[in-house]
Amino acid sequence: MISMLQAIRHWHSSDYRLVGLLSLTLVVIALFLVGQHEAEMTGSSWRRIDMEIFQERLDSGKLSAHEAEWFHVAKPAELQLRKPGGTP
Amino acid sequence: MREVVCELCPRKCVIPEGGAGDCRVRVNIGGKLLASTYGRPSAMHIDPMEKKPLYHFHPGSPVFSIATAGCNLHCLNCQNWQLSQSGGEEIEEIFNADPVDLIALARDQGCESIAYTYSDPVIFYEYVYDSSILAHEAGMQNVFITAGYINTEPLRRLCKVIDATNTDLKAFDDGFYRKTTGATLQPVLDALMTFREEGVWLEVTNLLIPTLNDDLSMIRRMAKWIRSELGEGTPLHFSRFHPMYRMRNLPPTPGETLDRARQEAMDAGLKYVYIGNISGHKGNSTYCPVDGTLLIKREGFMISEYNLTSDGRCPTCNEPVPGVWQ
Repeated sequence: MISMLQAIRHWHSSDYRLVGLLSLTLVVIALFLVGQHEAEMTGSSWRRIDMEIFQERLDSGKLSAHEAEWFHVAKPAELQLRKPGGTP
Repeated sequence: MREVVCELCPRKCVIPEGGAGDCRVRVNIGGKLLASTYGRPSAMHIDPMEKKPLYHFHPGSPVFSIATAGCNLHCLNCQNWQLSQSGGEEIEEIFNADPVDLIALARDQGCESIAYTYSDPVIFYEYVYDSSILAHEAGMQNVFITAGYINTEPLRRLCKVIDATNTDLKAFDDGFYRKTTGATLQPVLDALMTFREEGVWLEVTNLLIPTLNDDLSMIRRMAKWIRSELGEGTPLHFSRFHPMYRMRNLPPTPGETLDRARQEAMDAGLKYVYIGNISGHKGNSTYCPVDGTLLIKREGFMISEYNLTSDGRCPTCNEPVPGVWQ
């Protein structure tokens, strides 16, 4: 503890910048992880999928092109409800 | 961009072209929503009816059980997460079984009923609906094992072709639903009432997770709601939690917790309360609520003693036991 305090006393301004940068990076990572978790848990309205593989599987018959029921083309007001980005 | 709105479940996902719904399997291609796993199950097994669990519906019969990839819930403790938390383009094993093939396959295996189960069958709704019609035409039964996170209108339509459901009521607390499953409570309660109104045979399961949803006062409120809204004869299954998926930090549910929950629900007026996931427990069997006669003794998923009369009554006092016994 004492040696740590001694070390801080001898810090140069470049050290403060480095610590600041590291802290900022950690905050950004934490915000990203929390945001991703929340999006996953509350439903993000839609998800990105790998369309290349999806299309390959459709073409080979591994997946189906059966049209779903219970959907409609979005009205302009509904588009505002779409959350941007989508969750992978 | 031609976005579509999926109306199937309460999420009402607004999906851009080339995207999927939150369930991962309802995909917008050119402004048209595809049910991409229609006729493409990724799990097919023959299970005893007791495994669903359905204890008052054709007991002891084998049921042909299927599921596709995807789910509209994201439970941290999901026991089928490899299946439910994958899209059709991610999963390795996919079988080709359109409704006609499915019915034939089930019949060939000696099953008189089909269970739509494992992941949540809500997300492969069209496959369930079409298969169920064909199953009825072939004289078979359909059972729907679900978390009940579906809008009322599509559910009412589905109820016309479904014979029985076991619906998860994961907790009687909206906060639990949001944190642990990514869903909300009220639509599930609405679904339970819809099943009851539409005359589908209904059993309810509540998985008890230590510290998260095992509070006795909440269990009492849940049991009272079931009694008043669904009826005192609605079977309720308390199921034991095992650490799984993203919830490995909690221990399995102690037997005493399950015993206390069962007693609380019976004190609240429910007549048929069961304990699941503990083999050989006495709470796994069915007793007459009037005189306590052992009616059906279960060990694991097997029936070792069956004393109900052919019309589903207690052999001692003639009390009718609600269910589909024939």
